[in-house]
Amino acid sequence: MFGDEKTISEVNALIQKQRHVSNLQEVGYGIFDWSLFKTPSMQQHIDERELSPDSVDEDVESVVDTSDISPLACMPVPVLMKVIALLDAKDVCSLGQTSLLFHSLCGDHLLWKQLLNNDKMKWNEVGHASNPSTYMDLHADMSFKDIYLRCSPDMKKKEKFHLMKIPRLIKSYLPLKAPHVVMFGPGLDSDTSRIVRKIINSEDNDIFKNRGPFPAMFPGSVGTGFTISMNDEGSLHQMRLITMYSGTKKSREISPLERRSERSRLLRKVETESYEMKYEPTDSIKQLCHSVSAFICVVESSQEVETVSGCMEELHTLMDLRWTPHTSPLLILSCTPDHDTPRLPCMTIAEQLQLHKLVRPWKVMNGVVSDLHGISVAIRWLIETALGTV
Amino acid sequence: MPNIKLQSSDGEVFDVDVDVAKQSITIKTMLEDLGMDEDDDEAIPLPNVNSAILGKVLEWCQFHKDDPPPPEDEENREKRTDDLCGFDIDFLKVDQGTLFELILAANYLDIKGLLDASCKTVANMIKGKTPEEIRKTFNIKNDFTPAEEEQVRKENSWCEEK
Repeated sequence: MFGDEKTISEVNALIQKQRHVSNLQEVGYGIFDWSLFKTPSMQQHIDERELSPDSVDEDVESVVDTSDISPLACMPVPVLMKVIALLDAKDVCSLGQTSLLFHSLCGDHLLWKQLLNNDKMKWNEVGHASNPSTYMDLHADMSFKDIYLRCSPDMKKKEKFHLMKIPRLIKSYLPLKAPHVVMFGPGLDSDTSRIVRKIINSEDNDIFKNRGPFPAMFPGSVGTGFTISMNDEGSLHQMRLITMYSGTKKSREISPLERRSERSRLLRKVETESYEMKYEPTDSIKQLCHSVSAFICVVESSQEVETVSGCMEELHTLMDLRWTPHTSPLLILSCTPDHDTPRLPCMTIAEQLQLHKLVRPWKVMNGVVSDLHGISVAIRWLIETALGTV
Repeated sequence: MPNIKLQSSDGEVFDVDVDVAKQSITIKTMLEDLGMDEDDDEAIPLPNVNSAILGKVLEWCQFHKDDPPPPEDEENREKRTDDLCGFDIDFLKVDQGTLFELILAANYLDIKGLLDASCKTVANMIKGKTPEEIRKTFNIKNDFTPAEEEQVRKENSWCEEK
């Protein structure tokens, strides 16, 4: 499709000539092989431009099609690839749409592999439908470019019109569903624990409004919380937020983060049929997991990688299909206390928590506790997914 | 400091400081392999570079002769195109014909710094442009058939919305 026979024969002729010359002259001249990349047509084109910039228009008809020759397209392929490697994904896509030559160069497998590997660490969200490793494992026929375009949050198509976007006036007459959302995770035990107070104390933010507590769903005050309404860029959502702490505030502060499963009051040790000790949620937590619609796991991403992976057992135990339906989405809120704290990439969090093993909709999204930046967008995704309105 | 002679394609001979010329790995290898750095009167022929371009290349080499050697493994480093020094920005403010001739010369003479800087300049000319704008900038001919063009547009429909 992209082979240009004329160019190839020209190059071959040059190679022949080059070999001839090299044989006659010193061996050291072999290093001048690059010369064969400079095609005569380009030389002519450039010479013409330099010598007579004003007369080009008059000459153009007598000279064969020099106006069609792009000096860029005449560069040797290694040089072009060097230039293309400096571009970001969007620019590579644009350049690839200009001509057959650039379409072929810009579709390069290794180029996109590198773009994907570098850029995915900068993405501010990753989810079950946008996790590159899922596509690499399950769709061997997908190119890295396809995977990139499908997974990158910067490449998303414009959101389709949906019900949540209808004007506020009309929507105010529609009943607002408030799904039960459970919030848990190691981020509630560390520097990011203020997130709950931030959401509940409506005074210091314009997005969340506390509509008051609702009664416990199960005995032992399990499943109690606050009804929170959220006004995010004109779209109104509501949720019943239930926080599940692994212990009381005091015990959370005393206990170290390691051996989290052992001291968590959400879990208990059970003996399996093969006499192994495993963790399971307590009975009331199982009931709760079964009856709520969505989950938020708060993770502090400014901590060490090991600390993040420390909650993997707790997470996968709670997300077990035996008590948590596969339709309930899971949001991993990857939080830092403030904007200045460096964070782990979403992709790292997803890998550490082995989220590819989950069969439910999930997303890792970045959030900042100090001003709740990013958190309303993330919760909106969760509520819309839980209600099936996406 | 010993000098060497370089001869351009159109026969002009340039008398150059060895250290300046050695930024070209091609020339450095030649000097070392052929043992030519000892007061040799013979000019090194560079049949692919004309005097105008060789003059510019040597001007660049002269300015950058005290630069530290470029780091070896750059494969995984963040690629930036906005880190050109002021001299390079002004130096590469030339017409496209000259710019591409400089790239070819830098490639042929294996001058990494100049090749990097000129490739970055070209990359910056591409960045943020639509396919049609890129075609116009570089005089690229759209040689897709209508069917191919439609196919290519579909492939990239993800990137259309910003």
